Amino acid sequence: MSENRIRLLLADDHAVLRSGLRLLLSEQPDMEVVGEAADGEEAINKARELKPDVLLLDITMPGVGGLEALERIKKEDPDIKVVVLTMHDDESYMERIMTSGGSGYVLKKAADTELLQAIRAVQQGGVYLHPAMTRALVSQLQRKAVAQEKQSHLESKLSEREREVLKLIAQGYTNKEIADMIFLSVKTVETHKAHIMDKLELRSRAELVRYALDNGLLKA
Amino acid sequence: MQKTQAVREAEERAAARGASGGLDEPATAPYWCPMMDGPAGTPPCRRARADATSAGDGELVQRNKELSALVALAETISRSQELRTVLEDALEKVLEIVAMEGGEILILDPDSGRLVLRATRGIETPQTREGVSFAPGEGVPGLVAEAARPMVIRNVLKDPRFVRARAGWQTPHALVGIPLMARGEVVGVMDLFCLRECPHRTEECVQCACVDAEDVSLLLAMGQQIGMAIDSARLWEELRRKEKNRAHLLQQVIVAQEEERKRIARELHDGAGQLLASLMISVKRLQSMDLPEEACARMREIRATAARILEEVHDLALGLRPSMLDDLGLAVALACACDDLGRRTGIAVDYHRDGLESIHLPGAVEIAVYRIVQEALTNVAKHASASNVSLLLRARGGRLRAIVEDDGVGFDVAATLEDAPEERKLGLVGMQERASLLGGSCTVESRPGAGCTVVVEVPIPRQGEAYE
Repeated sequence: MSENRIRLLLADDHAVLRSGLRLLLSEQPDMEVVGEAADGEEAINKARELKPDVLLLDITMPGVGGLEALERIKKEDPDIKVVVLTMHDDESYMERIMTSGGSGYVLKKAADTELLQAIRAVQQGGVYLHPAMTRALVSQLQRKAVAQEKQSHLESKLSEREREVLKLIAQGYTNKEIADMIFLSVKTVETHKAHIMDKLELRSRAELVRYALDNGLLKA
Repeated sequence: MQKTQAVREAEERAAARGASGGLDEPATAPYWCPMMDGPAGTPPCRRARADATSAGDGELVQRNKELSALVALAETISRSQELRTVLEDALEKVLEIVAMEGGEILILDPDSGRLVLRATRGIETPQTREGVSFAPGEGVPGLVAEAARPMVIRNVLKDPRFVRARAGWQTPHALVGIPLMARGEVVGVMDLFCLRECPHRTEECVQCACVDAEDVSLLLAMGQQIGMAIDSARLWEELRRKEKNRAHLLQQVIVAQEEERKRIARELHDGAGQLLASLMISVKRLQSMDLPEEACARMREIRATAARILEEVHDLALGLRPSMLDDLGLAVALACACDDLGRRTGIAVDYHRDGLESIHLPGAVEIAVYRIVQEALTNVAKHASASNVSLLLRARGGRLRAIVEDDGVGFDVAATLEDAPEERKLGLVGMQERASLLGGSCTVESRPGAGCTVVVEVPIPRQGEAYE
């Protein structure tokens, strides 16, 4: 029986939360808390020593933070599955954690409902993301796909001048700076820019920059 | 002003005449100025007047010379705003104009009330002349300053008013002391020295005995000019000092404010946030017990309320200080700021960054750029009625540049800085202020109907690798 239990290591600098979690997890028949850590350094050491199946990791801890601990632990022992427990409901954190080898992303505000599910999912080799984060991830992928498709069938019909202006825009110069550099009025530069955007079906300065980068305009 | 050979010769003749005429200077007269010397005869003169054919022409030539001299001096003085340079250049120019060998400028120190030596030229002085100063009424400078009138001493060795017989100081044969005036007050004294051995071996130096009425009035006019220059250089220095102090204080206020925000945000997360999360877990444990349905319903309510409080605490902390700025860096924190704006206003912000991957930005740069961009985005949301906004972040050649551009209604930048409501104006000025504290700049390009572009550029202090 005990061989089949999921061996858990808890790493969180908040003692109250840690003891609450320990109680909750110990009550589960298929789980067993084998250790606790209060900071990143301790988490790394305990992970090495105890070789847990799953590490529950808070990413904002003092000293060696959770992010660094995650990277080091996964490097030393890729078999340890890591479920990150965090206050941050932001895609950027999730992206960073997933690329650093995390398997689960659970928000503390949903810990009571999702944590057990997440632990069981990653133990079986799966991935667990908070539903809102999954949505964000998918829509991000879709945006990228749309942008690529749009650019790939666009013919460049720019005049020499427009090409020059686009290049300078992509290099990060403002309309006024561009006007000074190529001896045009600011209004003329604005007009060129508007034409470029029309022709390339782009809407903003950032899209112009990306277009120029993707089409090698900056290399020439 | 270059003298012709003819002028020189005429001057020498005149000087000889003046010496043989022998102006008798009463030892009791504390101040001597040929201008006030009454009808005692022709003041000795080495200036152009001597060889002028008529009085009218002479007058004209003299005025012309004076004017050119003043113009030349004004031109010299205006080249620099730094006091030391102003004094040295002015002294050099004056000596050149009046053809004397040495000189010094002393400045009245408003705190001690003493005249402090600040510039010398052409005269041998000890190596260390730090702290050489005169009290009011002490020595020639003190007397000149006290009376605010010029003084000519023809025989320095015999004159008790000259008190500087210290080691290492070259003693001139004769001198002229000129008060330097600004806004009706004496701000300093310029002494001009005749150092040449008198060729006529007379008791009084004929070389400078020839400083005549026109020369003194010209010198007084120069004294006014130099005085004004000292005054403005001082104001400039004071302004610079105050500006430096202000910037320093502002920096400290900003750092303190950011630290405070960070601390409160952490405490919200670590304190209330964690306790609420624990509370929710405890409720969860209760739910797994065998309790009546009504109790379970209550517990679900408690759980929902706790979850909402936790969310609010999180948002509050995020508003105070985005923790991803510290955890994940500027580029990521700005991505969140863009998303956040999109969520709140429905305006999509197109964000593009490059060159930041291998760069380490100091915390001060990160937070300043973050706050400036945040302000720019807030302005877009509040005022621009834009449909497209983009944010570009780029590190290149040791500089970090962020551009926030919208296609909204735009505005007249100069007019807004002039008469916008205090809050908006402060926002714009504050952005520029924060950038300039880092040695950077923040410019706003906009006009009505043409959208708005905010450019922030700050230097990246050397440490990590620069892009490219």
